[in-house]
Amino acid sequence: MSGGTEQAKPAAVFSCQEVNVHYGAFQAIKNVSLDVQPKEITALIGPSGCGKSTFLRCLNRMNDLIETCQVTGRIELDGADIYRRGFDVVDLRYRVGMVFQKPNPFPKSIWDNVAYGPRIHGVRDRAALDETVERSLRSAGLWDEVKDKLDEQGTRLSGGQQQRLCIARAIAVNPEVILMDEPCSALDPIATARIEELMYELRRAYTIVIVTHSMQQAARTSARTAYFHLGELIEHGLTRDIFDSPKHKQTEAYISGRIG
Amino acid sequence: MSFVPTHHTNPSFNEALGGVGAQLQEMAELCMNALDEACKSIDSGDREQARAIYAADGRINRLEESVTGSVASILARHNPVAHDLHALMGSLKMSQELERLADHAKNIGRRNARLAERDTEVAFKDMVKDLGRRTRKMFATYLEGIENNDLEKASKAWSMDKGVNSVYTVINTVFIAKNFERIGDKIKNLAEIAHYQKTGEVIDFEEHEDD
Repeated sequence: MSGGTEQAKPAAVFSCQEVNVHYGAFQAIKNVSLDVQPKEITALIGPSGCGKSTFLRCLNRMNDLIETCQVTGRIELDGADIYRRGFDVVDLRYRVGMVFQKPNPFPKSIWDNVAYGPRIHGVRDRAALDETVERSLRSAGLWDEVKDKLDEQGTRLSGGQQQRLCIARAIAVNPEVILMDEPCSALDPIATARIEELMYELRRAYTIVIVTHSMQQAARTSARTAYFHLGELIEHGLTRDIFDSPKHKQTEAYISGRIG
Repeated sequence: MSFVPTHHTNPSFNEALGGVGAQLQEMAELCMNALDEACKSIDSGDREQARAIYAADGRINRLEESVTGSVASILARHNPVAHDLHALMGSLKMSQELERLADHAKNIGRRNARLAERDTEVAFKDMVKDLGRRTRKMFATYLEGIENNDLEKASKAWSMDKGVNSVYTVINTVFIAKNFERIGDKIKNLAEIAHYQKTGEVIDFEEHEDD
């Protein structure tokens, strides 16, 4: 790539340098350096156990919850080292929201689910909360389906609706980044298509990093793709290049569905 | 190497790729026969010879349709990417080129038969025969390259085209008329493709009476 093009690139949201992750003696991530560009979807792909979910969880320090986990290297969010001593992890998780594989709404009303984050953040005004709930549910493409039953339990919605509720909950606190860890793996193809449409819309306002087992989902949705294998980042580039002319044989073998 | 230079570990995918390769192989062999017959017809002007080329051309047309169907099915079912995708898209284009090649061979046979009917012969006979030999050699070189997995050799056929072109210039005027006809033929093809895009059905609008 020419120097000119490099300069034209907007500053990375996440800049990761030589990241290593150990679970006890096991090294799950090996010397990974990767930049995440703003307002686009980055897909992390690779076979099971390749470290893609581990890497995703490094981005909002979810791995802190695992006692044996040790992260070294440098991960910067907007230029600030998120692993430096004294970094506010609660604030980090507001800025970097997360949606999981299995929809996990709280056993509360739809309204409470979405208002949860802003309330913890100190918003008390009911009108302001109503406004946030509606805006978030609209952004998550769920408003029309639930506007007349906001008092109902979130857990009573369908799987796809629950996942969109979780997305609404994540965006209610205005994060910069949304991490998605296989958000469609528990959903049927129709619900999956809705989430993908939603991601496509959300990328205008948010930076999205998604871990997916579906190569086609990565190909359909993302602007950039990173291929992980045995803890290493093998290849990272524009999705259209990765799926048309991957540079590494391992990447081609994986995306074209070859074994071994 | 085959006409579909890729191999997949998924057996059903691989079998489908092999099927496309086999169809292209058959097309190429039929094209070579048609080209041979076309060359022979310059001397004989035999109507039977022209008919034989016709029969092969029909089979080649069916094969081209079959390759299109097979490639569409593979695209829909196996979501090929990268090298697999390039190999398949190339197959599709190759089948179209081979089909056109056979059409031209057919037309050579037909023209020679027509001339024979009037008890006359092709003009500049030696030059035309030489042109036939050169063209045949080009195609043989290409096929050999494909069979021996020798991309360089297959590409050599391309540079040999220049030799054929130098003879071409002599009969330029005739070919100006032919070029107009070919443009018409392409327009027919474009219409067929538009039909296919809309309906998924491969059709052949009525065969042109003249080449």
